[in-house]
Parts: sequence; structure tokens; C-alpha cells
Amino acid sequence: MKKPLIFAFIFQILILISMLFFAYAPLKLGEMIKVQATGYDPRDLLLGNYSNLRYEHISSIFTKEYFKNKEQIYLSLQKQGSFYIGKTLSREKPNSGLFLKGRVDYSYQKDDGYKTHLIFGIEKYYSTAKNSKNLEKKLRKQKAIVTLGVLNGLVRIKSVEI
Amino acid sequence: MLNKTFLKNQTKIWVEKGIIDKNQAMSILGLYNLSYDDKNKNFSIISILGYLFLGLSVIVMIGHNWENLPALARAGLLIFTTLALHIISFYLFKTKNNSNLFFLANLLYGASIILIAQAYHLGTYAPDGVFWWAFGSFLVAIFIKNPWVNLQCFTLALIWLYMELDNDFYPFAFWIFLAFCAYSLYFSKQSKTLYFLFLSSIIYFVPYSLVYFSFGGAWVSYKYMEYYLFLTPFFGYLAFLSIYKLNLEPYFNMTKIYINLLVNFFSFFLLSKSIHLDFSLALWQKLPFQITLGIIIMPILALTIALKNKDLYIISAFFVCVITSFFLPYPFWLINIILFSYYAYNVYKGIMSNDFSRYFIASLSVLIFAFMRYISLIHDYITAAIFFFICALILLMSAKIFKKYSGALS
Repeated sequence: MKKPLIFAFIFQILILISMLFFAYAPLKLGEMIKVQATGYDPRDLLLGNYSNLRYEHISSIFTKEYFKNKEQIYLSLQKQGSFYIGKTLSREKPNSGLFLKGRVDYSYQKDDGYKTHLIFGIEKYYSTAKNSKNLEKKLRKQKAIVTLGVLNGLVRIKSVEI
Repeated sequence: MLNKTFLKNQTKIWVEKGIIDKNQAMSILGLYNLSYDDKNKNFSIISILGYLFLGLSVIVMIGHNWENLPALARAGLLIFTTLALHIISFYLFKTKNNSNLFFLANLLYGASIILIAQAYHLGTYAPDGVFWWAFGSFLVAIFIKNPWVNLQCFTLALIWLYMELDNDFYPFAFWIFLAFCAYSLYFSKQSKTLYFLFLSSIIYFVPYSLVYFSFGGAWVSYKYMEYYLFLTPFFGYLAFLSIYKLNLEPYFNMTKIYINLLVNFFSFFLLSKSIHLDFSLALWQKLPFQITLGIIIMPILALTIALKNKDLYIISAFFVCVITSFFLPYPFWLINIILFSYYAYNVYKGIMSNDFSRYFIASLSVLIFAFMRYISLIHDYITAAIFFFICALILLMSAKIFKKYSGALS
């Protein structure tokens, strides 16, 4: 029973390498886009300080159709001026164009449609306690410009500038 | 537990005084699953605690966020450290048969997951990270059979379960973790803490799953609480019968105490007519008697018959009566007399079998029963008087019958 143990911890290392790959791939192989964001600074018990980012016309979008909480969705993007914003929300993967893969956080009825809040895994920007506080102060006054790497729906934060 | 500690201390004194020798002391303690020398165990606890703090210090250090170092360098360093620690742990395990260092290696593996999430700002879905942490750790645990590592893995699995439920997702993979845990309990050294967590998880998760799938993936909210509370003790009792059948000696007493507490606690719900009505209405609407018969009554009866134990016949009969009572209009006298007789029987059995926990729980139940009935019947003096008179008759007659029966036996 001792030899199969080697495969068990090699499995752990493979998991870590694959996580690293999926984290790294959109930044190296994906297309770089810029979006605008606002935010505030909370703290995670395990991961430390971070700034919570809300992306304009991406983190929440108005839809005619109702999407259930936690449902997997795809948000097609379109360029407006220098920045990208969300265009349409669908359950099926778009055939072309830039899109983000995420989940519905929650949605509620508004006017004749629904305000749908979305999560893409780019809502937290981890930094040191000092930098997070500085970023929070700046975010109170102005919007951040966030550069994202997008690859086949997978998205990662490259940088946050103010 | 206190009796065992007393016995352990006493045998050491007897050996010192020359009343018995060390081998005899070891044989006596072996009868109660105790070891004469516990030095290794104590050292093991200390080293595991040391590893725990070491792992926590790494995780806290990651929390500081060393963003001056490139993300890839940070992740690479920790992955390399995890691999190196696994290799050292493997070497120690192979040469000295000591597997405690895997506890720290699993913590570092989790720290690596946390660091990758932090370095690349991954906030997608936190439970996924905990899932891979628990799963990877379990794969190591099943080969080393170390009770501490098993406990560490199952604790991670429970954290993941909580996170998934909190996010309204059904945690399908928890069945895999339960299977891992059952395997570890059966083949590894005994661990009562792990067993307690495992049994609690079974009693919680099996009824939860049943309710979840019966109502089309709905979260067990307040709306379905009656089902959940109804199913829990019966699945607990089924688990108890299965453990009896499997003859899992080291865990048997613990299960008995646990189930006794659970069942007696549940039985108090039956004392209230309004709660009985709530349960009955919920059950009539959604859970037909045929399904109840199939998933609860039949397995209980089948296992009881297979076990051929008079005590279990009585307890199972009590269970079937309780289940059936929910499908009938509230039979006040019948329910109360059944409950009271059941508690009285348990007091008797507790005395006869020198089972202090059973005696204690049953006696306490009698007192709680009397208190609850006194409160609910206080406005109706005649009924209350008749009721307590009948209870007294049951106790006094039981005492006489039990005395006669035990006299005949001796």
C-alpha cells in the first residue's frame, strides 16, 4: 500500500499545476480588454486583504428573461469607446466574439424585465493590507480601469489602475 | 470514559504494588480496548498540534500577500515545498512507519491552493478550492491509514459540505467523502472523533438528500423542516442497527449513547399535539405512507429480525409505533403511554445491563416527560391527575414485574 501513495501526492501536485495553468492561460494566451470598475475593501479569513470590484455594465445587467440563482451563463461583450461592456446574456456558449463565462448571483424584477447580478471570479483583487486601503480610498473618488485577460470565456485580472 | 481512565490508573498501581504483572495488566486493559502504555499516542497528539500550527503559520503568511514577488515564483515555491514535504513524509513512512508528517504536507497542499487563488485573484467559487483540497488529501489518507490525517480530510470535506449547502448547491461528491471515511474507519486504527463526525454526517446528510430530491432540488428550508426532523432519528436508528449487524465493536457503545440521545430528544416532539399535527400534515401532503413503509419501516424490521435480539425487538416496535402515529389523528393517551413505557423500559434495561448512559438518559427523559405534561395539563386538573396516576401505576407495576423477572432469571 505504500507505492500507490506516490500517485496520490503526484495527483495533488497535478491539481496545483492545472490550477496554475487555468489561472495563467487567459493572461498569456487570451485577449486583453479594459473595463471600468468601482469597489471597496474587505478581508478574507484565508486569502488576506482584497478590493471587491464591481464592473460597470458587466457585474449586473438588465435582461428580459429570468435567470435562476447560481445558473451558469455567458455574457457577450461589446466595445464602447475604450472599454468593454456586457451586451447579451445567454445560457448557451456564443459561437463568436468575446464573452465571459460566469454564474448568476441573484436577480430581481425591475420594470418589465430583471436586473441580473453576475459573478465571473474577477470580483476580488488581492493585495497587501496597505495597498488595499489605498486602492479603496482612490476607488471612493474615481473609477478603476481594470485590464482583463479573456480566453474562451475564462477571465483573469491582469492589472488594476486608477 | 471516566471508568476506563480509572481502570487504567488502577492497573498501573496494581503492577507497582506487585499484585499483578505487566502482562496481566495489558490483558485486562486489552478487554476494554485500552493500551497499557500510551506514550506514543501522546507524542502523536503533540506533533500533530505542532504541524497544525506550522501549517496555519504558512496560511497566515500567505494572507500577508507578498506581491513584490512574482505570482509564478510564489506559487512555484509553495508547490515545490509541498512536493518536497510529501517526499520526506513518504521516506519517513517507509523507513520508520511514521505518517504524521503527511498532516503537514496536506496543509501545505491547501496553502498552495489558497496562494494560487490569491496570486491570480481567483474568486470564482471558493468551495471548489476546498473540494480539491479535501479530495487530494483523502487520496493520501486512504493509503497511510493515519487517524489524524483521516480526521483532517473529513473535517475539510465537512467544511466543503457547509460551503456548498450555503450556496444552495447539492454536494454530490459528499457521497465519495462518506465512502472514503467509511473505508478509513473500517481499515484504519480506530478514531472515535472521526466516527462521531461520520455518524453525524450520515444522520444529517441521508435525510437531507431524501428531502432534497423529493422536493425537486429545494433547499431544506423551514418549509421542509418537519420532514427533516421526522426522518433524522429513523435514519439514525437504521445506522445503529447496521453498526450492530456489522459488529463494529469499538464504536458500538458510542453509537448507542448517541442514538439514545437523538431518539429521546425526538420523542419530546410527540408530546405536543400541535407539533404532531404539523408533522402529520406535512407528511400526509408530501410523503405517502407507502414510501415511509418502504424506506424506513421495512429496513428497520428486516434488520431487527436479522439481529435476533429481544431488546432490539422492543425498541424497533417502539419506532414503528411512533412512525405509524404520524399517519393517524393524534392519539393522546396511546402516544403518551407508549413514550412513558419506553422510558421506563430503558431505565430498567439501563439498571440490568449496568449501562449508565442508558439509565441516565431514560431517567432524565422521565423527568422531562413529567415536567412537559405537568405544564400542558395544568389547566385540566382531573385529566392531569388521572394521567399522573396511570404513569405512577406503570412505574410501580414495572418495578414489580422487572423485579420478579430478574429474580426468576437469577
